[in-house]
Amino acid sequence: MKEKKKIVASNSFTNYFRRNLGSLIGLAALSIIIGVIAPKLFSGTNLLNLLKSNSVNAIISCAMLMAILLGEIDISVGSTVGLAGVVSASLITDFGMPVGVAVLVSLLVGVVIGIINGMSIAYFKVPAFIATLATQCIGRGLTQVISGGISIRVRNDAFSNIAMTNIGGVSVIIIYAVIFLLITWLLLNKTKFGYYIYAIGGNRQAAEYSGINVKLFNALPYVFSGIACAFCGILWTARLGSAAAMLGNGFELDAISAVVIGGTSMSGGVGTVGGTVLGILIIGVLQNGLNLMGVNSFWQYVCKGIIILLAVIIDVIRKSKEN
Amino acid sequence: MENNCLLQMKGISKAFGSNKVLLDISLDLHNGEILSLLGENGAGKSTLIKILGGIYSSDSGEIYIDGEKKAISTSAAAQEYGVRIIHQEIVLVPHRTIAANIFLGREPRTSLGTLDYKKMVSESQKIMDEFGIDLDPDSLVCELSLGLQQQVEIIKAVSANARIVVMDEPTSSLSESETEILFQIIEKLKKKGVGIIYISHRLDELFQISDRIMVLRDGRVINTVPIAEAKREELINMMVGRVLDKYYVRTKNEIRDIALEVKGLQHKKLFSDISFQVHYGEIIGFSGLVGAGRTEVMKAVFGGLPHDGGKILLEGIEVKIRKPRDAMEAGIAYVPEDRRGEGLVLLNDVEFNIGLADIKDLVKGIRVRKSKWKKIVDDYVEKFSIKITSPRQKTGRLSGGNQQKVVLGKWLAIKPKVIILDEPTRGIDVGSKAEIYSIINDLAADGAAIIIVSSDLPEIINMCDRTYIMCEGRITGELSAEEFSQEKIMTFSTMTGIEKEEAV
Repeated sequence: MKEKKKIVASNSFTNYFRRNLGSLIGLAALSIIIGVIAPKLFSGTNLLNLLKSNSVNAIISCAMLMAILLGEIDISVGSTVGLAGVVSASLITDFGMPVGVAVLVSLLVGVVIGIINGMSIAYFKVPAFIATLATQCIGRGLTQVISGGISIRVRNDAFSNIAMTNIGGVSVIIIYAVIFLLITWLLLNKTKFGYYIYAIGGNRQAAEYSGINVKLFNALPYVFSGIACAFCGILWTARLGSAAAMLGNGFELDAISAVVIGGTSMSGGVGTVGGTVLGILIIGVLQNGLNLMGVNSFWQYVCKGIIILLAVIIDVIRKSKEN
Repeated sequence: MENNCLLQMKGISKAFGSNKVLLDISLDLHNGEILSLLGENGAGKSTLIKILGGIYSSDSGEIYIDGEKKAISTSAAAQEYGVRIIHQEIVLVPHRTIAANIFLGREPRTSLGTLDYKKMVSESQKIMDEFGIDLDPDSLVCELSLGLQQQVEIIKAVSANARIVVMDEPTSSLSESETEILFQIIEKLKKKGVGIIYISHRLDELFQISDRIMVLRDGRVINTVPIAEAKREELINMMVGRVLDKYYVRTKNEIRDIALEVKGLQHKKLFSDISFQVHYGEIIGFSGLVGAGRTEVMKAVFGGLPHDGGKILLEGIEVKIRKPRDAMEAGIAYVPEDRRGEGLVLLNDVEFNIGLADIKDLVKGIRVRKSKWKKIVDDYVEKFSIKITSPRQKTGRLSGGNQQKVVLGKWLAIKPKVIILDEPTRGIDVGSKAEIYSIINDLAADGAAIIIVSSDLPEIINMCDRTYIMCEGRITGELSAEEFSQEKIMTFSTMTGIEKEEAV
């Protein structure tokens, strides 16, 4: 047995390259194949578009990464996006509230959903899948109740500026995504919050015996998730100028795909922000490519489903090889 | 007097429901002292130290540290008072580095308020140097062997200015050399004035390191003896509460025909060129260090792991074994090392588990042969004197010894000709151990061919007719009962490929 095998410091570039080799090759291959069929992929405007349209997924993936690192999952993300979007639109249009108040209340809605998820999972031991399925259902229901099943239009410049501003020719949405990714990286690699997420996901008992408040640090990531999703709901509504009742539908699927394709283990404890970024890009390039090739959106669902399945199978094979 | 005492536990009692686990236990521990706790499984040792560690709370009783009364209600509180527990099973986060594990729960910060990983690495290095452990603090825990992970556990425990360190069976999965390193670390801790509570079933170890031995039975303190006055037989008698005439039971049998022969078995990563044979009525051993590949070879013979080459012959005829069912049909049974993980369905009851291997015979179509099932269960419960309240009792609640008997019963129900026992007595108390040895002896006397994989050298020496020794995936030696000695076995166990060729 090689006990002294040296692991290169976790922040080094070569290590990143080695650990994510599979995803990097996948991304390159995908880009080349799609680039040959639809050369438009590599045009500057298309690339910026691609980044912009995947920014919301990037933000949600940050939250999903934390849940999956815990060895759990959060499938309520999409419905939280919808609920927060509809709440912000309704407050501005139906109640004439100032933009600041509407945004704050929407974020608060995200916090509340996050607390419900976190409490039920960490304190009441409800399996994460069931707990977040329930809040997904609650969120979807409330979205319909508030919107009455139709889109709520928002005509407010201050509000739309949240998403429509460009900074140096780059959409502010992309900048938000980059900031979220950076914050998540910082949280996971430089703070107790992140260290304890890895510890709880890797070996809950070890975390408990080390005197960590396991329940608290199991619950907090869901609050982060709630806030991130609510923010996405606001962004999306500001960008479209309206909030539809179906806003956010299926977002959980894209986020889970990105995180899993990025090499995060479904059983928890293993995964990085860097890998997740690759996962987001793979999903983004695939979707963009399928659009460029004119594949209809229902077939795109089929594609995405297959890819998630493959990614998880690869994860399982990788783990069985480790043993 | 009280001020000299590092730790005092007074009148500790604890019950789970109506089951009284601890009754009025008192102990004291001084600076630089090693107090060993001895007792069969279920005697209350684990519960006692879980109370000290803040994992359980006691129903009554008090804990004093340096003469001051302390309330230890959480593991965080225990750690604050300098109590550190090294649990029997390794509790580290596998995919994190050694340094991150050592500082888990008390990470140092930089001036910016972020966590200071560099400092974790340098501090870990410092402590490991101090204890003479040669590991890279930046490597992942999951890449270390069990023995090295254990060392990380100890470093983690002592790095936080531990004053009282509890070790619960720290050597149960260590090789001899790893155990030696552990004892050196313990000596260093002792010199630093750390008080140590040491739990082990291995009496030799207790005599080697303890200052005092406290014997527990059925949740009570039976006696506490200074090591100078301790006698092996007396300790065992105190522990089991009856006079145990003989520990290892072995009657020599007439060796009959070859039962199982393995020729040149290969696996591209785990082992190569494995050839051995076992006769009916014979007990052979497989010794070697943890990680030598013994378990993997046995799993391959049983079809639980694939093999890439070689032959498996039963009574001289080659059998193709690709999955456990093939091996079972050929009459081979495998009692795994990890009985909780691989041997039992813990949530299910004794009856279910005993019938599980023989289920093909017990369930015909949709008809369950209830009376036959029940009879098999009753037979084994009686034959092995398995202590259960009813066949409906969940196996997860049984002691290690009783669990092992249930697993044995499960496999014997299919009437195997070849029985492979992987670490059959690991973590099992002395009384049950003797019973299991007696069962093994009876099986061999009845003509079964038995293979025992064991890291416990006295077990191999006293129970086996022959032993093979493995190192790094190869068989490095074979000894007959007349040639047995701990030294010879250890020499072969540490013989790597090159040395072997030189020896030849």
